Amino acid sequence: MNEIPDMENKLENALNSFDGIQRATPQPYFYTRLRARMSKDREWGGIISVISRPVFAVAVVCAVLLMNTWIFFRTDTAVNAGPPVAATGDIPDEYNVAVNTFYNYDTTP
Amino acid sequence: MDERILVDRLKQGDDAAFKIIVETWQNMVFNTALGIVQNAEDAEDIAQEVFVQVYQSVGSFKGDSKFSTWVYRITVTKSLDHERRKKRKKRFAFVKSIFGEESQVVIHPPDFNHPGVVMDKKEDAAALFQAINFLPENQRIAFTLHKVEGLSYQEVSEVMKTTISSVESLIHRAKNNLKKKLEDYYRTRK
Repeated sequence: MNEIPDMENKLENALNSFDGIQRATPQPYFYTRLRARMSKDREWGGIISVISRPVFAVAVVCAVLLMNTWIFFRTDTAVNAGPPVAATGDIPDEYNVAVNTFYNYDTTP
Repeated sequence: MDERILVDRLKQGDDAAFKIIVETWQNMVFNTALGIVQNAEDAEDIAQEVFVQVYQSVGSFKGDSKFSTWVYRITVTKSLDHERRKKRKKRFAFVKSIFGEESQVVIHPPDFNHPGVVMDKKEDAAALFQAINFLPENQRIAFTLHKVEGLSYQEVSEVMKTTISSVESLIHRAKNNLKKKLEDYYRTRK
């Protein structure tokens, strides 16, 4: 029936290989490691429980809106004030826009 | 100490009771998880998760079933969740490798050797554990609880919330499927 003569035996042996199996045990000090993990989880759990509260989310949204409003009104008053008078002549001076051209040289007496 | 008293004390937040509970059931939880995930580090991680869950949700334990049955259920659920997460990761790594992104496809671990298996049966047991991985979830859980944890059909049916005849059928089908897998295994090794 089988190409391997003792296949049926082999299968039975494999299926019965768990007979007499002993319980595996974790490494020593399992409880200590578990406690360490629980206290670590508790620290993060505290932070996460605060962040995940709806009150926290609403407070963050309100803070962002307030900041936006403040920045908007501050910019608005700055625009209405207009540019400083002294600034109008600064750019030509700085980039030397008002330099004389060859035409100016030619026409100069 | 009586199981019910311990549970009541844990419900009141008694840490000493929790310690006794952990020390009483840690081997059972670890061995069950190990039988399912076939990796000692993962089994330890799952065992810790199980006891964290026990500590947090002991209030919801009504006492309709035995405490150990409830703990077994948590262990099986956590172990299967872990397996699913692992499979998802494997698939994701595979897809990433197809698109050429830097990622390593998870390599199949070597044969798992359960530390409790009798010395002269180690090789056969490793082949059996490998074959178990190909079983459908229900058959795998029923077979592992019965063969590795040594639970009776009655106890397995309580953990799996099913009837004894269903468990018998699951284990019968599991054995047939395992025979096919093992036969392939021995033929390819020939």
